[in-house]
Amino acid sequence: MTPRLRRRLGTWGVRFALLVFLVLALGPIVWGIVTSLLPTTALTQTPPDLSLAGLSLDNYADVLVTRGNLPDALIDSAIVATLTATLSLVIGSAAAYALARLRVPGSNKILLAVLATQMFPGIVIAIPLFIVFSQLRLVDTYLALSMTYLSFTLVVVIWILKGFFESIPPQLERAAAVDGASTFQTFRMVVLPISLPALFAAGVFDLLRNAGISSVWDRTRVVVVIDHLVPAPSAAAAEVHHRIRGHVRDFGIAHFLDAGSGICHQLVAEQGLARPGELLLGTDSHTTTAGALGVGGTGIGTSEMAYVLATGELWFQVPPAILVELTGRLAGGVMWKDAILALAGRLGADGAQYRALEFGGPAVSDADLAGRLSMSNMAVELGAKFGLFPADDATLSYLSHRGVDAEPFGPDPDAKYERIVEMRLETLDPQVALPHSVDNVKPVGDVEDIPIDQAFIGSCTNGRLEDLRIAGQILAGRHVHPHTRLLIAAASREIEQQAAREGLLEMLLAAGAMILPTGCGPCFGGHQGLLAAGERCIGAHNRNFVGRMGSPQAEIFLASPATVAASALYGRITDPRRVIEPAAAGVTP
Amino acid sequence: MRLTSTSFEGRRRRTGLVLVAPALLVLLGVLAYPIAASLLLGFQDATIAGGGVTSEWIGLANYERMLSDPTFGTALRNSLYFTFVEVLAVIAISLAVALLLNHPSGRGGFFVVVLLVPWALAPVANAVLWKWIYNANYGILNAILLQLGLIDQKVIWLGDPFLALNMMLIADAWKAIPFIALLLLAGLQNVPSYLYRAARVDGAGSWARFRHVTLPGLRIPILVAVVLQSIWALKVFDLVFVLTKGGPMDGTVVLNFLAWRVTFAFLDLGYGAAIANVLFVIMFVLALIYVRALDPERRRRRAGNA
Repeated sequence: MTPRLRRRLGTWGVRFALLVFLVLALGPIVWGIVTSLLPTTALTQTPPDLSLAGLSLDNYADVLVTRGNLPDALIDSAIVATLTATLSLVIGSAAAYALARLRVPGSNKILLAVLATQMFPGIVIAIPLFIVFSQLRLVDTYLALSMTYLSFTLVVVIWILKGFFESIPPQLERAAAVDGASTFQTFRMVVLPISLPALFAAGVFDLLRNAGISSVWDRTRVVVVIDHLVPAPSAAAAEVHHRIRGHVRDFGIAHFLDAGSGICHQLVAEQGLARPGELLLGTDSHTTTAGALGVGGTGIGTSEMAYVLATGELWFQVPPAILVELTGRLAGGVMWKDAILALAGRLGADGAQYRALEFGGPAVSDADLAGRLSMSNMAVELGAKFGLFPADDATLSYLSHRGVDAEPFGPDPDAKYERIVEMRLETLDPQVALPHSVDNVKPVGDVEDIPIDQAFIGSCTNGRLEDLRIAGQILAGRHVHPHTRLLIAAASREIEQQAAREGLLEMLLAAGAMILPTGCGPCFGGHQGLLAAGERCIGAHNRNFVGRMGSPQAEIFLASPATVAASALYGRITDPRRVIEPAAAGVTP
Repeated sequence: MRLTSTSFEGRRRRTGLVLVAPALLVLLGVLAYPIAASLLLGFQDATIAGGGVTSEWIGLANYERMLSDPTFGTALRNSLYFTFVEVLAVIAISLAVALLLNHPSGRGGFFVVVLLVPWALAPVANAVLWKWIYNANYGILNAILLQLGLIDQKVIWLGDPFLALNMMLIADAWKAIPFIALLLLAGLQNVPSYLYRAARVDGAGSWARFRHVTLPGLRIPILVAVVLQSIWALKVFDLVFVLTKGGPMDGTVVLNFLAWRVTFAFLDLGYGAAIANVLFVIMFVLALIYVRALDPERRRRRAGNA
């Protein structure tokens, strides 16, 4: 047999098999339908009289009209089905969502128990139910029938919907919760189409295009930055970047910072793109970073941004304010990142939900811009709409170095605060946020010695020169632990250049660090340094949600760059004071 | 992890409990209570008399009675035979159907829609449909076989105990195959195509590719199918009720049907519950296997070892 003949025979064999399959699958059904269209006399002959002349709808007329019992049965079925479906969907979806997401204690056992009940022969469940229903005088009611059906529909609904809810990335829900959605709103909103963070910018312009809008309201007041997924790790990401560049050209956007420039929040500060007292909107939740300069920065969604670009306007509810009064001085080895982590631990991840978090008090003037940017950046992790510092001398001198003239800007003297939280800096230890939420914070002393596989210094939270300097100070002349990888990504090209001039990059490379291109890097789990199941990462970034940096079985710890560098050195979570201020930590390394 | 009032996670957990509570209450009422009541009934001599239930504790007497009850023996044998043969047949045919629908000529929504038709049929409607097909005098099955000359006189399909059991098996398998075939088809489509190309490059023929690529790739779906189909085969009731009512000569009495008959026809609630409990234990063991097979943790660990 030639190969060609064999192939042809094979194809015909498959076609024959498909035909047999069709006949066997449909035959009984077709016969059932034919039967329903023929009179009894035609069917009780041998062989049956299948002549088309005999076909009629008489049998249907019989059950529907003449005998008239089918309509009643249909109505009964409809009522019971509607009641059962409504009850099982309402009760079942709530339970499925909770079991999939809200870490109900013993959820696995509950699910197993629920499934196990289905192993019980349904017929016999009917006996005790019958006894109960007759005692409650519910026999012969729609409710009793529905409740009985619930005993298996509910189980199916819970199992199917649980699988569905689990397939939705948890970050989305976290983001929704941070943005002020209640559990139920989150529930509704997560069903919305899911897109990569990098898709946002392209999505905004696509939305404008689709709405027939061909120009933005003021092309000089729009900044476009490509910082997620740079350089593009996949053809899909490259395609998104390519589309963004096309849109920037077509709309004539004045400020475009392509891949390699840095992270948008750092660039806004560093390039003086916003002034104290202005409102800055970004399609990234960490736009609150600009609050460090007294700029009202906040993150919004793609479609809201399309509206802003088209009209230059957006509707806001003015948030109530919480004042964080900072007193005292940070001890050596303790950073402003530790202060904001401690605040997250105190107030909770939704402790400042839709509030303006204002930082004030005597210690504010001690805070350098890098520290302020870290704190404002993470204000959103407490649910805050804004994270504001007053624009004082430090701010104005920072801005004037970048060619921006600005006026001092701060809270009104008669400002009303919903709540005032005092924070004493001198008593603060380095802090660590444990998996899987930013408010799960402990002093580093409580969690020392947890082994780590990867350490990351970078992101819009802690990728600044000051952060690289402290890492350099800790790692100078030393080498990271052989079982630990240290990743470093500067928040902008300017920082990278300065680090190179100061010899920091050389020093970090000598200590065994990997230097990543400037950009968001692995922080949001896009690429470059993702984690395997069971791995632990300590990072100076801002979120430690389940699955944020790769495998959902990985664990992420958040800390200051100093703690991250010290931990990289020892391969386990380590108090940085052991390295830089052993006397203060009361221990020797 | 802590559970203080400021913890976001802690509050989510509490919301979770509130959301689960209604479902648990309903399930306790309509499932847990009846199951517990049924387990207790198994140790009682309970009968319905005069509209009320009279009961008396008799310990293990119901279970002892089972050992010497020839009908129970028949039902157990029938159930095991029905389950064993149906699982084998359904898995083998479903695998063939899945392979067929995964073939380039068989792809496309049309065949999958056809496959769904028997699955979408209500169990009782399916039983009625087959009862008419099997009808000895006017059934289409006899008519076709006579026309083809495969039989020379009408066969009473549901008239012989063992034949009736097998005919019931065909009717049940016809309805069960679509779901299992879809399950295996989804599994087939998850087998990466590069494995086939690599096998081909290594000189594997079509049998070798099936044996060493397809079958290992389908291990988990097949395991799931075996357990699910075993549970469903053990639970068969509607077909027996409509087609044969257990006859002829108890030839199609299976455990589930026997539990119903003893309870509702003989009004012997205690013994009926005891039979149901035996069936429950068998199915519960199968369910444990199912849950363990599907446990993502275990699967990942296994994948990690491979």
